[in-house]
Amino acid sequence: MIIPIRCFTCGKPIGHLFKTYSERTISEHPKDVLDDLGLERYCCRRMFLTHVNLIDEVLDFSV
Amino acid sequence: MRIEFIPVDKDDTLMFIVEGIDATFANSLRRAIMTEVPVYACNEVVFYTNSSPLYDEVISHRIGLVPLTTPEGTDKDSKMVTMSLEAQGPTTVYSGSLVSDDPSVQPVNDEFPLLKLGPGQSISLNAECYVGYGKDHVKWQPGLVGYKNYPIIDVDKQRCNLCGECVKTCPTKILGIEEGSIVVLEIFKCTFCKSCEDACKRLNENEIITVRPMNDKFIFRIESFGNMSTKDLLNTALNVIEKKAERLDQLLNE
Ligand code: SF4
Ligand code: SF4
Ligand SMILES: [Zn+2]
Repeated sequence: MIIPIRCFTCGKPIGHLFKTYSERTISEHPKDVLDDLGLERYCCRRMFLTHVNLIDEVLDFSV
Repeated sequence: MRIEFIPVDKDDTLMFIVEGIDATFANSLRRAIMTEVPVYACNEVVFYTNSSPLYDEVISHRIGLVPLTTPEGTDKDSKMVTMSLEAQGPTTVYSGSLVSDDPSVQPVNDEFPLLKLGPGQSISLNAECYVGYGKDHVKWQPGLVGYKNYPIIDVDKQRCNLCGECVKTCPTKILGIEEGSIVVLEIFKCTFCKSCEDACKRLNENEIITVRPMNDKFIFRIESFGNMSTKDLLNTALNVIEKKAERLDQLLNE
């Protein structure tokens, strides 16, 4: 939906890195971007690799 | 007890080697840092308007997880801090839009996306931040701590034929050959995977290189989530342990 604030497994805050990640992965390999962002553990890395940003899809359906 | 710091090129990480403690003490230090250091986090949210596609509960949960800077000397009796948030769509609302009534308690980073608003949608809320402990909820956990035993990597110089198989196999690339013997370059990176032992055994049918853990020497790694510096985390946690030990002593004397 929208990028989680923290990693589900270790609790490291990761949400603030998503903008950089999504901008840079247009032209770069995700591995290099994740390394640059300082995400060493695979729990934090999968937060980005498996995220689907659906928030724009649901934006019209407010409660 | 001897402590030796390992230089790390990241501000939020502290690494050091402690000699002369046992696993019980190492683990109590780890747990004290992760669960007993008081920090601020948002614990209650009052909504005035929310016409965004996200439910109130989702937004409060997300605000709660944003780490907040915590001034020195904070304890569980420190006062509540209120943050207000007001935004009009279309926009993405970031943690930087939270207006705190105490400048020393702020989101550690202004770039956390809290929610997104479409055209005509708006949000207005007050978030109440309290001091809490990591043992109650992850939002109060100020960092991550891990430790491992210090490795002893022994090479039998007489029998080693310098085939280099262990050097090639080590996944962390910490072994090398220098001046006709096997040397360990950055021993604290060893993961005890024992791939070097296996490789040597496979090729030479002999246990020439062995890796074993030391039981009174540990490598610590403290990672701060930004609420306070790693040094403050360590100091606060040590004070907590000291206080608990004093209390136990007192109870035993009674
Ligand atoms: S694999 Fe064994 S014999 Fe070969 S260099 Fe390493 S320790 Fe020596
Ligand atoms: S145990 Fe693993 S990490 Fe440690 S030296 Fe051997 S191969 Fe390298
Ligand atoms: Zn993680």
